[in-house]
Amino acid sequence: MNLDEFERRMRRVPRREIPAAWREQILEPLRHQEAAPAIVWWKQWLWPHPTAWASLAVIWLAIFALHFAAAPDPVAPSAVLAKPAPEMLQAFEDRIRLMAELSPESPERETEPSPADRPRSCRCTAEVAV
Amino acid sequence: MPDKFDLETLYDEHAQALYAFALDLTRSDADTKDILQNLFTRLARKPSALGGVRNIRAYLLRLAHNAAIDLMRRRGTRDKYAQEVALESPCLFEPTDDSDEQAFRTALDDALRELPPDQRTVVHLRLWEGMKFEEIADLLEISLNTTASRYRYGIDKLRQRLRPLYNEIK
Repeated sequence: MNLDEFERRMRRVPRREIPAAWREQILEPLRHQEAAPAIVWWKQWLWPHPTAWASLAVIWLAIFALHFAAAPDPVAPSAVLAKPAPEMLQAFEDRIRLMAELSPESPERETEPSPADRPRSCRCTAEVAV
Repeated sequence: MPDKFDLETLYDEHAQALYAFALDLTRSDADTKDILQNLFTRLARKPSALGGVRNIRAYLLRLAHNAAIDLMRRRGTRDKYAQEVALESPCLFEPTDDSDEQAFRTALDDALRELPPDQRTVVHLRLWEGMKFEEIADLLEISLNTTASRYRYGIDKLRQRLRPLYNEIK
């Protein structure tokens, strides 16, 4: 039996017709069906695992909350700009005066000449007197 | 291919081929109807599914094939159900008044039913859809060699099964 001949014989056998009633039964429910809305691209990332993403967001919020709760209190601007107390000012001025007195460039110390600057005759007289 | 298509035109052009193919695989009118209903519902919900499809018939046959395979896998282990389905399954071919031809068509239907599903699929697509081996391989996502070998095994079994009847009515 030739294969081509056999194949031709098979192809001539008509297949059963689809029941005519099926057309309306299948298509009728679909006539008023609306197409499903297109999924936005970002939903394709989030939608399969909304619980996982929500949990991750909660964890990050908790991390931020703990971070800001542990941070030291910032200095209030009013404290920075407040005038210092009078006692502090007085102490500050005393300190400046003392530093000025102790400084080699202070005017009091300039009235006394250094021993190296005095003439030799005066230096000898001072030593003998002692 | 426009994104929107006429579902009724699609049905008129392809439903007959889809029906015969799905019936050959499932051997059940009820299952075949379910497959067609789900297929057209899916198309109605997503009209853009056919956008860019060059061979609509092949695409729809692939959807029908996948649905039929899923159905058979869900029921494949229940031998008792398979036997019941085989007894009640309708003949794949159009009845005729010619007794000899009717005997041949019944024998052909029985012989096809005895083929493994993978061979039966390839034989059906080759003989009654006129598809080339390359098109069948692409549809079923198998190699060309596998397609050709499945067809060869299937057609040889049919020839052996039908030889006595074929020689009588030739």
